[in-house]
Amino acid sequence: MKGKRDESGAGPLSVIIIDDEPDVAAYLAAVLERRGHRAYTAASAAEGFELIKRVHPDVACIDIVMPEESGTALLRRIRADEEIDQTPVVFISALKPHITFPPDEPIDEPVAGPYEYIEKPPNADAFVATVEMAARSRRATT
Amino acid sequence: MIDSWIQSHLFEEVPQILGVLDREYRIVKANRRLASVFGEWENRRCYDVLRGCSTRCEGCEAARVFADGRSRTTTEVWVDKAGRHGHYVVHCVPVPGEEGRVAYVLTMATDVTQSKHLEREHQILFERVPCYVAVLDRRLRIVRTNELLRTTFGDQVGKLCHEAYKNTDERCPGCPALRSLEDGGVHSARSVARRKDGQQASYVVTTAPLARKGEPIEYIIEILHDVTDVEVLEAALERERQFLASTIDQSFDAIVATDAERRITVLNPAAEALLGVTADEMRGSTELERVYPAEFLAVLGDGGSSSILRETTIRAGNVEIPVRFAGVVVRRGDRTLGTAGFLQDLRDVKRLEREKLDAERLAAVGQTVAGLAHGVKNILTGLEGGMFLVRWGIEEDRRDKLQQGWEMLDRNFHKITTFVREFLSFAKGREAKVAPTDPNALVKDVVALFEEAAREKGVVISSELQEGIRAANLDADGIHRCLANLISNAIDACLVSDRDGGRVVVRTRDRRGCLEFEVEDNGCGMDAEITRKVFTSFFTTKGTAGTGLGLLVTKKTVTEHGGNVDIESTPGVGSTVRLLFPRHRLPALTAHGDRPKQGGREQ
Repeated sequence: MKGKRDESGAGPLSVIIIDDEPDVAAYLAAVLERRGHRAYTAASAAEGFELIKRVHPDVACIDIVMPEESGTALLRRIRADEEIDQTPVVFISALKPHITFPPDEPIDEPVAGPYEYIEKPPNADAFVATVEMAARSRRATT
Repeated sequence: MIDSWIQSHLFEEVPQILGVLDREYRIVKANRRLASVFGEWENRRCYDVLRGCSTRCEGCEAARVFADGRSRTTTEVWVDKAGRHGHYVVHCVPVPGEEGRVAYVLTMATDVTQSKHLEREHQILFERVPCYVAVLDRRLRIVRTNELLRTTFGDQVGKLCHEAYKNTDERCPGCPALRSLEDGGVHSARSVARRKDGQQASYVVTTAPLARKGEPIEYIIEILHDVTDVEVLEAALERERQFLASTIDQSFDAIVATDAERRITVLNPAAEALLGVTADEMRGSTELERVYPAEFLAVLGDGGSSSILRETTIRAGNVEIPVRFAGVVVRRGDRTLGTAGFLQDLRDVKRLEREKLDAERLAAVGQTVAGLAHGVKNILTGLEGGMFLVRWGIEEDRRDKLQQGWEMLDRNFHKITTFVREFLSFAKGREAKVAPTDPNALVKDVVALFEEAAREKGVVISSELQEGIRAANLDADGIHRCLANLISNAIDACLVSDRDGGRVVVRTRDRRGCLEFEVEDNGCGMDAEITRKVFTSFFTTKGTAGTGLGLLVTKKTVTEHGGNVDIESTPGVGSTVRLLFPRHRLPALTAHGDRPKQGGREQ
């Protein structure tokens, strides 16, 4: 897939969206699609991890609060896997990653590696800009 | 007549032992008494008869009488015919012969063995008695001392009493010897004396006249008891008493004590402050109901020995004060020494407890609000997504996007409608009606509600209710909703499980002041991660079937009752959820909910 893009970053991106709310995933996928990018969706962290391993996306957008495995746990798993550890990550959540919720349960910290963050509900333009910026940062380092 | 009687009888009739010695010390005449005591005497020497000796005694008194013709009195120890020693007072009287020479000596002896023994005994008593004894004359000069006194103070005979013991020229103030001299009575005084080793010691001095009543008093006997050890003990006791008194006085807890007759003897400042009385007014009083709670008075009435009351009340004037109380009957062996009570003012604790409950309730509300925000944001994102797709469909005339967008809008609109409805009922539930409620009846009610539907799904619900559980102040509707929620979850867990024979048991329990509801299932169970998250708002493992509000509402309701929720779960084995309500934290009755209910819910 990397071969499809030129080094300027202007080409279409492949993005994976992981959110247990199907409508949220569908919305974000539609936003990216309309801007000419290719979006894949997954409804759980486990499914998302497999997808990332298969697709090697330019960016992974991950919800934080999900049943079974949280977004922060998934991020740690990604950073620990040499094959995909450079994947840029954008958190999309109603929560800020540094606050804890519920109050007696701290979010898995420290979250390894760099990530971007967008609050729900996201503004479409801001969301696309964040994803593209995340992709560029990855390209700059590779 | 009389002369002839004297001549013929006197010699035999006198009570003394009489014998006449010639100059060879032979007994030439003796009365029957001598014969009866000493046996044969005719023509035997006196020393042979009286002492069993073969030679004349040293310092023989008879010899002196023969020499100078003067009468003498002496004491002798003689040996009787049985070999016993005896003490005798002996008068030796010269009997003149021709030419004025002493021809004979008449010895007249009186047996004083008995009185001699008595004297010895007195002497030993005086010497060996285990206290210090001295005899003083009228000028307070020491004329005699016993062995112990000599050992301890040295030989003080001849000195004045105060010189001997205190090395001072002045008489001691309140001298008991002077008083005894004055009134003939027995007197005592405390005194400090210096021993010959230089040590000072304390003594009780007792004096008594050495004379019978009415006789002139020539001597005073003075007895000293060393009370140094007693004084040391007294001082230690006093220190202990002071320490105890000041500990009791300084205690933050109110302390009250009575003697064996149940008269108040101790009431410390904390007790004064708590009970609004003064120690002076209560000391000696038997109005124990003013200082002890009724429960302890009942224990005392039944002959009990102690009571510990985690929480009770004591009446101070017109106010009921919440207190923690420990009361005990103080005994030593079979003897009752008194009672003691310790009261801890619980007003501050109560206030803090109330404040803590309020804070917990506020925290529950805050948590709920945070959870709501999260849920709302997800739905808003769905709505925004729907609008985005509809706009895309319209702008680019794409029916597929229009369709997809419309469906998304529709779905999220329904979601928010449901959500708002649930939220409203949740918000409405906040107006809790707290009334005395029978926990078992409540459980029976809820179980009956689910029994039929569960059976249809192959799940058996049963209840195990502890008998005789007291009614508790509960918001019956709220707890009903909680139990319904838990049972519904338990049934779902059984349905998800691969196993057949789903079983849900609901239990009630009342132990250690804590009311418990328990819902146990043998369903799918949860791993630690999920167990940790179940109270997160809108957390659901049931996909679109759950709103994720259920357990959150349950926790909120339980928290508002001052209780907490406890979950144990093992994947593949099942879950147990307990609602725990410490009774002392349960809410007060609401004004309109004070009617006792028969069942769990209002009919």
